Amino acid sequence: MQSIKFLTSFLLLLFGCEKLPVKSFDNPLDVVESKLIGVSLPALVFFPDSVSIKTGETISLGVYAMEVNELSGAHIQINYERQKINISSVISGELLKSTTEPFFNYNNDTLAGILDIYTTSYVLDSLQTGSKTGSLANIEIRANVPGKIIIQYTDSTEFVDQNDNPIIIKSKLPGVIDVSKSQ
Amino acid sequence: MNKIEHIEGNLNLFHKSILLIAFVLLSSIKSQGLAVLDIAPLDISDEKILTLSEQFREVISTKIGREIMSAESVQKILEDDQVNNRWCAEEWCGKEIGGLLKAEETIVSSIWKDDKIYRIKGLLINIESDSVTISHEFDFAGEEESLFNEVEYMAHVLLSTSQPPEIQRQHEYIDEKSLALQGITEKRMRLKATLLSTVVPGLGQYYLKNKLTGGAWLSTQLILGSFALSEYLTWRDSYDDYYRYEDLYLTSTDVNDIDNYRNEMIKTYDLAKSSIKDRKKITNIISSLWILNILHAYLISPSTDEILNDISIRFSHHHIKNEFQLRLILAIN
Repeated sequence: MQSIKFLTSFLLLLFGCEKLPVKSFDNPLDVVESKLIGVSLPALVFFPDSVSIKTGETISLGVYAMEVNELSGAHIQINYERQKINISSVISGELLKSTTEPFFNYNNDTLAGILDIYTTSYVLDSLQTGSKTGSLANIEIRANVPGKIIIQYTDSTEFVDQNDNPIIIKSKLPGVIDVSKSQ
Repeated sequence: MNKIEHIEGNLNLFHKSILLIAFVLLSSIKSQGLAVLDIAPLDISDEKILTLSEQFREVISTKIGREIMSAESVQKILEDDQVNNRWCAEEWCGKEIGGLLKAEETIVSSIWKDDKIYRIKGLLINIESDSVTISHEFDFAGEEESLFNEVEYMAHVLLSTSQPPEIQRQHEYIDEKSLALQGITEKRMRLKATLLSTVVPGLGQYYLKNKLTGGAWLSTQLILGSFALSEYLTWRDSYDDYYRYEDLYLTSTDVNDIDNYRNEMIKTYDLAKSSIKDRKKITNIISSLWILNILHAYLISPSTDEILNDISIRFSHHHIKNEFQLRLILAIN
């Protein structure tokens, strides 16, 4: 009798705890989801687009171009809150890499809180013929103070094709760093 | 002086002799043995009760082999005191009459026909210790003829002797039949079958000796239960898989991989959803069948007539079996 009671409670507990997973598609590079939520492409995003760290910690954010046709060069300008974060390093991304390394340079104006990144593909075989998504640069950021920090692309950001014709960037999505106080 | 001492010595001897004779006489008076009083009747005919009382004494003296005071001597002693022992059924009365009869032990008993129930009561009273040594009570519904068996049964209980098998079996038959006639067996069986089927599907039917339907109910529930469990396991796996793919999806930067993981997430989500839905469907069927099984156990519980019929068959079968065994033993001998 005791075992039957136990079995019944167990089954009730077992079937009672069934629930559906929380359905969310939060990868900023998800083309399908971006289209569904109304993000126009081509776009420039951060990956990850939202991250939580503690003060004093460093996080690596990727600068990603999404669904861009025939990209050959880019000037990316990022505005950040200079009092709250430091940019420790900036390195080249993978999108314009080919048999040769792309031209890559950056300028960090710590007084204005502006980071300018310049990157260009040198060789013809790297010319993009189809829609591509990939990283143009990787930035290492160190958080100094707690709070919500927003970094965003400015309007000076631009993409060009192999003929130096500008490519319209339809969406520039900001990145959010949630900084909490370290213990 | 010597003469006076001689006379005192003779007087002491005389006193001692008187005390010894008194002790011997008292001892002989007290060894009266067992007095079995007539069974006190209530709504039973005098003729019937006399026959039963005679049978009661007969069983005690002949079958059990206990020496008892004869009915005539009991009557004679009590007539002198103007006491009718046929109305003695209680402990106090048994003690008083036992005292008058100077018996070591007294048996008082009564049979009362209370509407359709026969109530038999008997006491074995030890007069010396002034206490009831053994008591017996038995109520039954049934035929008046059963009283003969029950009177014999009571005699064996009161005198702590083992019951003859036939009397024991007959007593069990009377008892079972009595419960059935009062509708107690029907109620008990129905309740037990219903409860058993509530606890385990088919168990009530099995208890009612309907093994086939009992097995069918149980196996159906087990099969459906295994389906439900299988759906549960599918849900659990899909749930875990969903979050595994989500981790890969969130950390991936390759567009093709992201697309694949996204599709896998949708697939596992849908599977989890459908398995919950199917499991609920099966659980509903299980619950409905469970209720039907309880109802079935309630409905197929036998009626009093069927129970009586079953008791008759069971006991007659037992009788035949015993008869066969007896013949076998005789043949072997």
